[in-house]
Amino acid sequence: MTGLGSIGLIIFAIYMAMLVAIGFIAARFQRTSEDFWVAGRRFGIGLMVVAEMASVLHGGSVQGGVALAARFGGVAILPYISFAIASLIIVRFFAKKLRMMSGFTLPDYMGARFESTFLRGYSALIIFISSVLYMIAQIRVMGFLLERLLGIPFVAGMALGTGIFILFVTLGGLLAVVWTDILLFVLMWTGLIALMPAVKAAAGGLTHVLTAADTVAPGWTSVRGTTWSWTYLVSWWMVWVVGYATRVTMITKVFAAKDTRVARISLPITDALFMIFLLYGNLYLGAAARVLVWNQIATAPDQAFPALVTYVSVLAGTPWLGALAITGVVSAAIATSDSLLLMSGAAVAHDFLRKCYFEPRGVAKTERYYLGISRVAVVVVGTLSFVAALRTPDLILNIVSYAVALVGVAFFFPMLFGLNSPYLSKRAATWSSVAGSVAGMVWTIPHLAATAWARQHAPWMLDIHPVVPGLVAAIIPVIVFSSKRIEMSAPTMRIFFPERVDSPSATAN
Amino acid sequence: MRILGLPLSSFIVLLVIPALIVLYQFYYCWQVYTRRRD
Repeated sequence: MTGLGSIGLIIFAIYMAMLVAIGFIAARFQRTSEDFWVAGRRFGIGLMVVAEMASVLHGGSVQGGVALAARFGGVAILPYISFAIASLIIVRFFAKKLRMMSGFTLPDYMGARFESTFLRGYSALIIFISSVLYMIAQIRVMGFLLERLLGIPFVAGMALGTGIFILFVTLGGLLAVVWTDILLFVLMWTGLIALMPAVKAAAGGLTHVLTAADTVAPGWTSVRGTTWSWTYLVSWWMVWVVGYATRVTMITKVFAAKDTRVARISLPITDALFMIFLLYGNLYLGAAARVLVWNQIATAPDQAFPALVTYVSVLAGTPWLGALAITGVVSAAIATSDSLLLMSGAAVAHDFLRKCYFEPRGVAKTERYYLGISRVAVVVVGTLSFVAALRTPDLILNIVSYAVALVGVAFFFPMLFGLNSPYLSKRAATWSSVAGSVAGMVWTIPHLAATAWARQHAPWMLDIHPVVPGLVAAIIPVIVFSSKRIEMSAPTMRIFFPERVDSPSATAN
Repeated sequence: MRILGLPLSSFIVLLVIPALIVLYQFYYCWQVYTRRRD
């Protein structure tokens, strides 16, 4: 893959300048830590939909999605069933009460609902570790993309990208993250949609390209794709249900909604638009990549998207259009790191320092102090992630794909049952969270470190994603420790189950 | 039988079932929006 040269560099420089400008503008709206972490809870339906879309339809979902689709089949890799079920779970069971509690983060929920500083700290630790690991991987991806596509040296590219997103997140908090995500979302999709006629001219319409993909790769349009087993497919669906329902970037937006109605109504709109966009961004472009450029990239399928875009734009005689589309996707990929930085910063400043250290000890600090601490945490975490990204063992990069999904296992049942039943006890939630995450991590070992052993002695283990045993381990404590007695204080009961406060069956203490 | 270039089973799994679930969500949210549901 050759670089995009000066056109790409100029577009990239303009995009990055816009991000920094947004950071400075958003900084003017920051007065308290509530402004910083949840943008003052001012989001209406329109802003919520665009912000949620921007956080799920980032650069990676196009670049990685086209590569996966080209390789394994467009229907198999698109878990629409999972997206729809997960969105239904958030709408029906999570959003209202999460917004009612007026927290900032998921550990806020775990700590407040189960009245446990340990659970708050454990949740914050899981989010911190997974976000930082994911951020390290993203910083390296950013370095590779900038080097390969724009010719910027690897370390310089990583430093430049990291420096820019640390700057605008530090200045503008969630507001800057949302505005930059929206801007890059619009720019990325403008580039992708502008490219549509060139792809159509080269590959034909949807029906034609899907049929052609099935001809060159039998099974490409089948439910299981070209190579997946049923076990792996069902695992894949389960991973996405859990991962999407507990996706921290989505849940953070729920906390930022204006009220409980906005928090719910925005979600199905997001879900429907998300699926429509991916029909083009993954299914159609994935089929086109398989048909048009697979011979060039069969040994390096990650190159499917840039190879396709370069091929069709050069064929159409408009290479600048290719530069626009690829730069939009690369810039949007950079922006995915901003949410991760914000979440890991929140885990340190809000969850550990404020809620686990200062407040339990009765140490009073001003909002101005907490805003300052939040900014310092963002700079420190971002800088450490950059340093770690300079020398990262391959194993850590492999762990990332599992670590993010495992976050879901730690939170799924404590959220599903804890938000909808007052009977889920602190003990059940704590053991569910710990057992789920530990079981998932142990199951990850044969996938990463003992692959040869597993392939010889227990190949079925490789067919099951670690999320599945994680979920099994997480549900057992919920069943074993479920209680017929409500074990929460009256104030907590009033926050989460106000409708039951006067119920005669409640035995809140 | 193919619909939009997809085999029938893929069409149902990829589009029909998810669309039905999303439609139910819209119905639920419409009730929330019109305050027929809290």
